[in-house]
Amino acid sequence: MEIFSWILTIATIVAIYSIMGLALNIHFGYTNLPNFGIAGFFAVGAYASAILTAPHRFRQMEIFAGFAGGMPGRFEYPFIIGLIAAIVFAAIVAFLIGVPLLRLREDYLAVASIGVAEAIHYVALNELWLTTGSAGIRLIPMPTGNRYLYFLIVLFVLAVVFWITQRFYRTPVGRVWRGVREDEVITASLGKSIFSARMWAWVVGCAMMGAAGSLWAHYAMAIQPGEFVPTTTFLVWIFVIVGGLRNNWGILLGAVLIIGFFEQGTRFLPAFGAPYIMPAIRHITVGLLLILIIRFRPEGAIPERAARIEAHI
Amino acid sequence: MATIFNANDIYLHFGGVKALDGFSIELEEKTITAIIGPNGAGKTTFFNVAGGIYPPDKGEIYFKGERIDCLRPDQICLKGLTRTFQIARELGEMTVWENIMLAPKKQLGERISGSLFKWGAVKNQEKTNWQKIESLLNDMGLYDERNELAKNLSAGKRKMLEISRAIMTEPELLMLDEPTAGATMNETKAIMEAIERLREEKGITFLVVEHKMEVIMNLCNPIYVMYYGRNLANGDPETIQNDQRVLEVYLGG
Amino acid sequence: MDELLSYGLLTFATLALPALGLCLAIKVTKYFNLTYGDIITAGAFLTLLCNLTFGIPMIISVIIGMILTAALGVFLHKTVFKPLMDLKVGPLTLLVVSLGAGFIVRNLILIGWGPQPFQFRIPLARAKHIGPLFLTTNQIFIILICLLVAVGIFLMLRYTQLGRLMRATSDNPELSKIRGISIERVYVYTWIIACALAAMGGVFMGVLGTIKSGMGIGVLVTIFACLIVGGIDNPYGAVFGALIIAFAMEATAIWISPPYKVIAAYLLMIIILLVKPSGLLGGEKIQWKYFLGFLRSRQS
Repeated sequence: MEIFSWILTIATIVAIYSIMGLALNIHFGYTNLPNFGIAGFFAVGAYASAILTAPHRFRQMEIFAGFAGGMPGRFEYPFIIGLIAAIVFAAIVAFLIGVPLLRLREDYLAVASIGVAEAIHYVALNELWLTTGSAGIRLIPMPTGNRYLYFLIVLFVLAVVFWITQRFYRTPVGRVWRGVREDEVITASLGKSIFSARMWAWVVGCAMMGAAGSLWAHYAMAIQPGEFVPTTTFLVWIFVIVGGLRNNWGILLGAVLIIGFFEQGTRFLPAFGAPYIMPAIRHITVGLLLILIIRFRPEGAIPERAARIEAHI
Repeated sequence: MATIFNANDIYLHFGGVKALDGFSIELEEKTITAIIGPNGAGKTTFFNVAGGIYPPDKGEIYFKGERIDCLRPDQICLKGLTRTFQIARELGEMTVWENIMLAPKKQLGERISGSLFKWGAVKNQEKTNWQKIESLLNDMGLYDERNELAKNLSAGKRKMLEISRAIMTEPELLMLDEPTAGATMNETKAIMEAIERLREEKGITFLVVEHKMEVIMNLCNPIYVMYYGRNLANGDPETIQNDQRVLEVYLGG
Repeated sequence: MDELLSYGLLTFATLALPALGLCLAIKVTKYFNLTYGDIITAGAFLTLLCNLTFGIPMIISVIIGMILTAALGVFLHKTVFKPLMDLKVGPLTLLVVSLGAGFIVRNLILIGWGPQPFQFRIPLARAKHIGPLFLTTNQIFIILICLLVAVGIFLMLRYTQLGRLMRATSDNPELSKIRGISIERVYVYTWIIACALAAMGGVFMGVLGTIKSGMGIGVLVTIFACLIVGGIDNPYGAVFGALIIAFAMEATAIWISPPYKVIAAYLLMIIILLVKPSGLLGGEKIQWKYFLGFLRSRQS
């Protein structure tokens, strides 16, 4: 049925973006680390998974087309290996980037992280031996081959990520992160290592973004460097802020609203003008929405809720 | 009695201003020492140096025999030295209980592995910590506000929160920066009693920056007087009260 | 080697003025405004509007373009940023909002002109030899204008009333307010100058290359690298940083591989952040979190 297929598509995309939103919540909502390089870690995850799971057939196609054939297609590992690799590689990149970047003040970190995504984009575009460059990687297998079943897999990962972020919030880990967010001097003076706290939040969040990347690669079954653009990063920021920074339920709501709208919302309106007009209008709408929300309801749709000690214990 | 803390000849200057100009202090175990002096004398700056926020330009600081002047604030706290802040800095968007539950050291749940996998142990530790905190909150008059966001507290209560949090780190040396500033008469009494009690029961050494005479004279011995980043005088309350130089500084300047 | 000199100077000429403008904006308003990249793009396109659509000669187009861009900048400041600054939000919130504003500007330009690259209508230039350099008259012109304007800005900062006001506001906003200086006025003037410089940068980029809706945001990270390398609180540092980054980029292009130019800039920025975070000409270490660890040497 057409309509179910359409809903499934949106739902899968929303679920994948939700994972990134929850990860950004750990970075920015909990620990005040503005990560504007989300697209980069997303790309690392997607490529790691794609390279390791692409079938031999793909590599043969490349060689046939004249290209010497790079890493993609050499391995043909199963999806689960791809997913784990995505998480591990994203975590490693996050750690390496974190060592210099995490000691910056927040706004400097924001700017420096923009460069991270750009650097990763360059690598994806130019290191042909690794990524096949702008042609991208195709024929990535979708586990189970069935889109409905795959959606359940995505949903499962989302549920795990959601559970993890909720768990962090309610345990001392989340308390330390929020302490770092509120006042680092105090938190340090209470004996908590700020660098350690920041680094853990950073690595865990980026690992989640890598997982989202892997899920994306297997959903789209083909990836190319041109997909991993600042717009992706920006969309995640918008729905996290609109939905309610810090509140994980709010973030899910935001993902449904914003990503749902962005991907498909204007589908039923007549597209006028050249093909680039409607996407541009969608971009402008979300940009405007961001400014309006920050101005008039900065806590977002569902704000952070204070917990009671009795409920906690 | 043994010396638990001493700072030798601490120098610190910021862009031309000599904040600390050769200040020294020695603390004996289980005493309550006061640092007094006019505003701008460098008392809070000294706390910042001792607490690891700035390294001194010159001089060393020893705590329990170890050198601490180049350590980070979190390292210093873990060694047993906790300080509070002059302007109560509460973690605003967190509740009172969350503020204080942050304080205990060695929480299992602070590690990712602990948080995700050791649910039972973490919950037990939280319960244990909370029991200790409950009685402290009662003494400090904060129990009713335990579920309030810290930013909604009155100034006096914020001070109490600051002090309670510091106490919960279970330090051996507690450095309080103007603990009774902005506190009501009752709150001041409660704080003074708490300090005495902690010294008696837990053997905590105190270093207090204070302005209120009744607190200083009744609670603290010895007293160090600080002036323009240097030592001016030190001794027991009697001596200080009658010291000419001290009187000049407070009445003359 | 001569290639390096020529290309280095050209890249420097495109980076220096926007870097200087952004430096002034950040110093005075005290937050990173990431819309700046798209303001550069807007500068190029507004000039293009005059030049291509209305057929106005280039020099006048540039001047009109600068005025229009400054107007855009001030409009954005008044409608988007000032209301938030009045609410006393932090610099991070302003940064996030500036991304949103940039998004809007970029896509409006996209709607207006489309995704294809454009070129200015300027007379074809002939290349000349000047010492070791082999440049076209346009390119020489650009380098000279860039240097002149940079020097002009430095003189303005040092010797004029406005320059003093800008320095006072950036050093000590509280004191300036007490002394009766209208901070808002200083912000507006600073933005006017910063946007004019951005427009010039955009025009230079357009003359030397093509004009596309993504051109500004593409160069924003590089401009930040210039600021960080040179010292973010120092206008001389901005220009100096631009010099270093420009030559580093061109050297990478020549000896390693052209696509990695931007990576080189970014790497240099990271290295400076690790080794001398206040920048080569910068002052205090405002960007650091002192007690996060690496700065301190532990005894024992």
